Amino acid sequence: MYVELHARSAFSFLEGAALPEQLAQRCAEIQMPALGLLDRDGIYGSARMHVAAEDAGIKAHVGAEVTLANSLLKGVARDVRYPLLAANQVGYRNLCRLITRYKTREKNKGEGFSIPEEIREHSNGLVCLTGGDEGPLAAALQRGGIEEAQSEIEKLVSIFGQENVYVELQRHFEREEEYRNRAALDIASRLRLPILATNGVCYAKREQRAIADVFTCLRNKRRLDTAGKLLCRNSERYLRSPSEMEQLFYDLPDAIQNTKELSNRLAFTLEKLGYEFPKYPVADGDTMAALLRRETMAGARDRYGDLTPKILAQLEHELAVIEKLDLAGYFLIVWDIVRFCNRQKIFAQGRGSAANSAVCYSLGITAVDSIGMKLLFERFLSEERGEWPDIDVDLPREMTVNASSSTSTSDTAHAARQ
Amino acid sequence: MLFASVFIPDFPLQALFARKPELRTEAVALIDGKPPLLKVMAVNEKARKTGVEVGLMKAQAEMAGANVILRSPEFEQLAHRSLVACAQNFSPRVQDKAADLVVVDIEGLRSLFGSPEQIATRIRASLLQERLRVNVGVASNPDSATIAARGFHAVVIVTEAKQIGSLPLTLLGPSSELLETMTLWGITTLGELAALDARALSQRVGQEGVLLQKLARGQQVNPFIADDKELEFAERTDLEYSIELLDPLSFVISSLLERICADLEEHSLATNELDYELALDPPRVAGVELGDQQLFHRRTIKMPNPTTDRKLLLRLLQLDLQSHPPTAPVMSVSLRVHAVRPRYVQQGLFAPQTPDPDKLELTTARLSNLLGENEVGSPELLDSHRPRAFVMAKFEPAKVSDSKSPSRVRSPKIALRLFEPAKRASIRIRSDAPLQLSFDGKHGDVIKHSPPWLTSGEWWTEADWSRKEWDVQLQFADGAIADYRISIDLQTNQGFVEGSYD
Repeated sequence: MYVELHARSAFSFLEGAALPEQLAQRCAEIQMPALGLLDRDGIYGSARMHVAAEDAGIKAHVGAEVTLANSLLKGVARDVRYPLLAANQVGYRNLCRLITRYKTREKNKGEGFSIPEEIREHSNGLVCLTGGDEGPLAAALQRGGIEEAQSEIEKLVSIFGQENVYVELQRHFEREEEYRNRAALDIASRLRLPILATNGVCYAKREQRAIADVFTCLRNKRRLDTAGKLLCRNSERYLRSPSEMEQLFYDLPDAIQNTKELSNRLAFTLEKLGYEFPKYPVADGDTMAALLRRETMAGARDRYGDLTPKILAQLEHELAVIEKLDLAGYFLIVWDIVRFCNRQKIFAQGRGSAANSAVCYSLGITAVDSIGMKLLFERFLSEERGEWPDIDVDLPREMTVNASSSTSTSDTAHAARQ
Repeated sequence: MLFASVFIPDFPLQALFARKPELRTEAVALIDGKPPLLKVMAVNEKARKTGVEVGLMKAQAEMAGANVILRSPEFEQLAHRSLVACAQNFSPRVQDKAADLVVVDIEGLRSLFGSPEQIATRIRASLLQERLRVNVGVASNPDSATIAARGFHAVVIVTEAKQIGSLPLTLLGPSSELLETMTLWGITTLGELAALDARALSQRVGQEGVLLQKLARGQQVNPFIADDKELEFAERTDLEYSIELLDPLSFVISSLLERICADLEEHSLATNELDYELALDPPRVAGVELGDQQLFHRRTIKMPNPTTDRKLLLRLLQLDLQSHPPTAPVMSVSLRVHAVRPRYVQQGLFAPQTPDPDKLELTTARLSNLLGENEVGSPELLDSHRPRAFVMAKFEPAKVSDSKSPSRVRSPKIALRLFEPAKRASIRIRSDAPLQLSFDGKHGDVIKHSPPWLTSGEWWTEADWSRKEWDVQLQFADGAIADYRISIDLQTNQGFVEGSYD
């Protein structure tokens, strides 16, 4: 079974001719179980790809093509791009940090590039492919032939590790590409690296080549009839079905087999982002959930006086949901900020959907009796929605810094700043 | 700053006399307008003595015995061009103010041409050779220089405002209302206008009066803006009778080329591009509108090397006319050349002989004439994925250097000999792979082949194309083995043998 692990979406501005949704839908049509989206210098398309992939019943691998400084690759006039795939959460974090690092450096949009030291620093958890026309292998071959190419791949191995470098092979029925494939196979054999078939996808369906050509013209500020060899040579960079790819690489079954194996290795998807709210410090033997319960009940007695069964039932329901979603720390941090403000006589008032929570009312975060007003808690927090709660607290502008820097714990300060 | 203003008085008449000097001794009346309302617009002194005045009808002027001649825009254009060209010979900073007037910045020309008076005299003498009698005024600003040139005869150097004080007020071209007011006040000269109180004048006649007073006081009102337009080398002639044959047309073209080449040489320039336009006189049918292509024959001749050789240009133009004859008799001829710096080549002592570029140009033009325009030249690849996309570019032999380049050891490479045009072939294909091939009466089995190579393009036009290509090794019936590049046009399914590998 073949999995396409090198595809671009329209989020590679003026390079990819298909939206993530179109790619996901095409995957479902051709029964491809997963897709690796590697947009240029960003993971902009990953979120939409993730949602579309969920709808289509496929897995969306996250990655990006990372541009490397030209000056370090003399003799090659164009950009060189490292196709990188996030294998796990660490890899995803590293990929985001790497791109952020050089994007915040760029003077003009789209001109940012990384340097080898940065890539080395952020290589953990990433899988590197050797790329197609714009990849490091093609650049090195153009620069200095097969010896230079081997040296380049050895460098990749030293950065990412032997098991995280795949020698990429693409077949678009082009002479020059087949020459590159032969060199790639030779190098893979010498360095004992796995080979990987990809189609360097730029559009979902063959007929979208026209859009890709028009994008090329826009990118290069040319007209179709003057763009010449800047345009695609043929219409083969579409999302091929597994059977087509198996036929195309009939002589290299390992290249197909490895796509499935690599796809299985890439455990990370946007479903498992792994974000955790900062923890609220509690005494040994205590838990955040227990502390929240104690403070809520104490606050409720202040607010309501007698805790009727109705009030108790609502508070129990809300606390159960908060505990289940592991959000006790978040509520305690907001409570801590509001408590600090009250002590300092800074006006702090929770607003928005948080007013629907009796826990927030009891903790003094909001001033609205949600039970008395018969407000629906699920509008604020719902187990089914799977979304994080959003407690907005209004503070006077000049007091915001004070409040964020003077709260009782550093985690609270950090959260307040956020 | 110092400016010289060069003015041609009685411009239409002088333009005529410059081309037809024999008329100078006759009583000449120039007429203008649309028939039958032709009126006299200029007369010379002799005609004036016979009683002919500006504004008379053509018949009245003829009755008075004047030689009545239609005003010639062509002659006036030539006279104006001579005026500008003469000014440009003295200074690069020239402002072309009107058909009969140019202003020249002559500051800093003393070491080249002498004192301001000498410069003015030389300008005047130079235009006299063109049979144009001009007035030259020199002053510290262009406005005073122009007033002097318009007001005084021959050469005048204005050093102070009172020199122009005696000139009539009408020279400044005041509006009729202002002139009437001034006449009522008894102000008729520039000096009288200059003496008026500026504030009082402004209160009574407004800004026009103030501006004219500034001019009368020798002050500058209009800025000097040197022309920065490129030199233009163009000639045009309207024929009295339309010409059908090449020989008489060549005669006309030759005289135009002679003027252009002389003009180019005068500016130390040459040309490598000649545009010509022939206005045609096609048969007309009532109610049928003729298009631009039927009314004009326009062509451009390009040369690899700049030249000012009239004979060469004429021959190239004749050859072009032979291969692209106009579709109707010719009524007028316009030539325009693109001026470039002349070619200076120092031949190396040991450099191999190369053909004379002018002769080579003539030879290729002759061959083009014989074989067709697109059949002669050097093939030049086009920026396209379409195989064999090329155009025939102008044949330009590579420059030969006499320095010996070190011999480089080159690794042997496979050479592909392309057949032009590609040979049609019958290709038998199974499972997307070629099996057998027949072409030129030969049949061969494919014993080895490459993967297919796909190319397609120009999907946005009706000429969109797509093809599949293989490199194959063929074994023929006699046992011979050879390597070929074959292709299939996927639009028509026609097979081709593109070429053979050495």
